[in-house]
Order: sequence, then structure tokens, then C-alpha cells
Amino acid sequence: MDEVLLEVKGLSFSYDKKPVLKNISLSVRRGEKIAVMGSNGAGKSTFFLNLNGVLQAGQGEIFFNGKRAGKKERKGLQRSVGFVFQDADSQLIASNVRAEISFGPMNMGLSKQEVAERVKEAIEYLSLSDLQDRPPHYLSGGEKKRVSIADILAMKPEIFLIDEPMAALDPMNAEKVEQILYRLNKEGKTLLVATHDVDFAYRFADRVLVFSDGCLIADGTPQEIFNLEEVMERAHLKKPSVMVIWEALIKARLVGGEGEYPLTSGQAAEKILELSGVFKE
Amino acid sequence: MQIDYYAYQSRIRGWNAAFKVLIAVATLFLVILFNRILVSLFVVAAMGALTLLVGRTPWRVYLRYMLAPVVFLLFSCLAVAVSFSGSPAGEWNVSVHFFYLCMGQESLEAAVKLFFKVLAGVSALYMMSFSTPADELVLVLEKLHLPGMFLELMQLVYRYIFILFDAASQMQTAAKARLGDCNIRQSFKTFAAIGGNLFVAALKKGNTYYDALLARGYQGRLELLTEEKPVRFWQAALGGLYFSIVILLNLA
Repeated sequence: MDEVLLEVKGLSFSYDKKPVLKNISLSVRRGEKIAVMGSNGAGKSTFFLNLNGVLQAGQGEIFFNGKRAGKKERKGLQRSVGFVFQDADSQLIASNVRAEISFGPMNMGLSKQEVAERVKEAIEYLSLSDLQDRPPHYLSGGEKKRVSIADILAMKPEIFLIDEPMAALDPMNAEKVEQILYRLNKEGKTLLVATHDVDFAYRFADRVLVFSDGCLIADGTPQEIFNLEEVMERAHLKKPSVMVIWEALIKARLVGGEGEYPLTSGQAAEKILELSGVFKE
Repeated sequence: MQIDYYAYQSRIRGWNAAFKVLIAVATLFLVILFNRILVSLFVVAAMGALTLLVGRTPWRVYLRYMLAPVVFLLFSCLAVAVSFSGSPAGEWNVSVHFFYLCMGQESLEAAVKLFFKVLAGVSALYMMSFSTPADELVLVLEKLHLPGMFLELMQLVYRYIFILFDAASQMQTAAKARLGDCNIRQSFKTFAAIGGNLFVAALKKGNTYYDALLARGYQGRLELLTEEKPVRFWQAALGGLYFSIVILLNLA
């Protein structure tokens, strides 16, 4: 689990001489769930495009599995690092779901049979069987999101870069997508998820990266990061509500400060009931 | 645009697209070649039945789509049937003081023939369009060896036309919500503003789309998995029967 999968060293990138990423260095280990946070325009999407090889960094190096990914290896990088775009509409190109999912694997130069197999797997994984002949423009937002994840899944990358997967989804579809993310991670995929939702990042991630103005200003566990007031302010982030309430309870000596913080409101409620001696029947 | 939506609902969508295109195009040639009212009438009935009864396209929709060419047709056939003349000619004449409107047996017959011929052609092409989504048509064109770049463009345009339409209708709604259509002057202005905005939005989105293509390893060829729908025996038999009747009617 501690094997370093992706390493970024001194990555800088500018759009038309305007620096967007400044000297980013970090390493990603296999199987991590990482939340990438930061205000709009902080450089998250550009960072993802660099990791995926769509954009070529002006300075700095990216290593995948210990190998340096230069211009020649860009194709390899796209195979191993998949990027799910925020707006599914900007990602979906084909006129039916099956063809859509086949686009990535076809570009990888696989045989038609292999492609068909992978498409089938991805369709089953995301329960899209009923929709497979439909064109993307007759799908709902949640369905489009699932198709855009299937697109990447069929390419079987080791790392998933997912840009704001829950944006513009209703709570039920957001929940579905979250379950998919957990499942992917459980099956050994490494996830980098850009998000503005602190509550989600807090319960989901085991590591948080905070970007501000093109710099990586913090890197640590959610509990560490959300306690760094200066960082939170710079990145326009708020503390997760469960954390705020739990800390107030500790301060008021209603609960003990030892042990791990609860991650969700449900977990918090359970702990409180346990402590107060009221057990669920 | 809407016709595409109904094509997806059609029960004969599962038929081989090339087969349907063949039926439509061959019918078109035959009705023009034979030019007989009986043949045309049979084609209108057969194609209508295929679309409405087998394909289950809602008849209201079908009639609405038929209405447009029919109105157009009536006027053009009128122009064929009626001619202007300085002196009375043909079997029927109407004097309009300066000149005569004349109509002869022959020209009337030609007009009626033309009317049903065109109607037959339209109903054959509607059978195709009401059951074959645009992306399947592109695949048929691919089999005809049209240049790949042209086909890829068609596919992308087909996909993005819906996105552009969506964006336009959202902008329109947003403008209406702010009284952008309170009077004619204002609605012209709004229309121009939406047009300009759409252009900028399209440019911006275009960049994102290209990034998204690259992110999945696009190398300048849009290759997708396609599905072959074989022509079933009874479909081929039905097609054969249909064409035999068309030819027999011509001989009758």
C-alpha cells in the first residue's frame, strides 16, 4: 500500500505567460483517496490536466511508477491516469452510450473484442445496461455522470482524477456517485477528487491537498488540514460541520477528546448515544 | 431535431439501418421512374403503415410532419396545373381581366401525378428518418466509403448541435425571465446578444472538448465501437414482397 505510484517534482505551468501552477511537488501512493481542494481558479483542473498529460508542463517532472513521463510517454500517462471531467457534457462525444464508452479503449489500440468486453464490464459496473443504446443528450445529469465515469473505467487506469463529481447532482445521485468512488477505491484504484464540499472531503479522503493561487499550500490528513486556520482562510474553506460540532462537544466536556473524530453525522450521533448510556434497541 | 427523438422510440429502429436506407432510396427511384398514381398511392400506404403500425410513431406527430411538405406541395402543384395565357386555352378558363388562368386536362393530370409522386417519396424518406437516428445514418454513409474526416465531422456536429441548442434555449429562458422579449425592439436586441454569447461560449467549450478528447488518448481519428444489426429473414422477405408489388402495380 505504501508504494509510490505518481511523483510530481517542481511542476510549474503557465497559460500565455500567466502562471497557473507554481512549483508543485508531491507524491501519490497506491490506493490513496485524496481530496483536492481550493477556491475556483486555484489551479486544480490545470493540475489534473498536467497529471493526465494533456498539458505539458513548462518546468518540472512527473514520474509514474518510477519512470519519467516525458512527451513520448504521454500516451502511457493517459492510459494509467484517467480524467473524469466536471461537466459530463464536455466529455461525452459519441451518439450512444456504448460507442461513447468505447472511445478511450479504441484509442488505446486494443482489439475490437477486447474493447467490447471492457465496454460491457464498465456498463455493468455502473448499471447502465438499460441506457446503452441511448444518445447522451437524452440522459439525465446523474446518468451522464455515470457514463463519464464508465468512459474512464473502461480504460482501466490505475489513478482516477475526478473533477467535482458531485457538482450539479441531486442528493440521491450524489450519494450514488460517492458509493461508486468508495467501490473503486476498495478495488485498489487510487483516487484524486477535486471538490468544494468540505463535509464530503472530511468523510471520504484520507489525505487532503489544498491549492491556493497555483501553489500547493497544505498536504495532510483531513483532521490536520481542517485545523489549520490560516490555510482554511487562504483557500476559502470552512471547517466540516461534524468537526465543528464535535469540537464544541469536547470543549463542553460532553464527550471525551480521545480517539478518532466521527466522520459523519450518523457516526457522531451513535457515539453520543453510546456515551450518554442510551443504547439503540 | 425532434424527428431524431422519435427515431429513438421507433420499434423499427432495431432493423438494419442500411436496409432501411436501401428501401427508402430504391422506393424514391422507383416512384420517379414509374410515375404512376397507383404505384405512388401504394407506396404512401405501405410506408405509412410501416412507420405508424410497425414503428409505432405517434400518428399526430407523423401528420404534423406530413403537413409541412403537403402544404408546400399543394401550392407547387397548383402552379403546375394552372398556367397564364393572353387568350383562353385548355379545358377550363378563368378570366382575370388582364389575362386568363387556364387549366387543361393534361396539366391537371400531370399535377396530380406529381403530387402523389412527391408524397410517396416523402413518406419513404420519413419512414427512414422516423426510424433511423442520425448516428446510424452516418454509419451507413461510412459503408459507402465517404471520407472519414467528413463522417467524423458529421458525428461531432450531430452531438454538439444538441449542446448548442441546450445552451441557446437556456440563454433564451434567462433572457425571457428578465423581460428580454417585452417588445419587438428589445427582443431583436436580445436575439443578437444571445447569438454573440453563443459564439463566445462555443469557442470556450470547444477548447474543453478538445482537452477531453486528448485526455482519452485522441490521436486524430474518432474510432468508436459499432454494432451490426443483421437483416432478419422476414424483414428481407417483407422488403422483397413490397418491391414485387410496386413493380407489379406498374405493369398492371
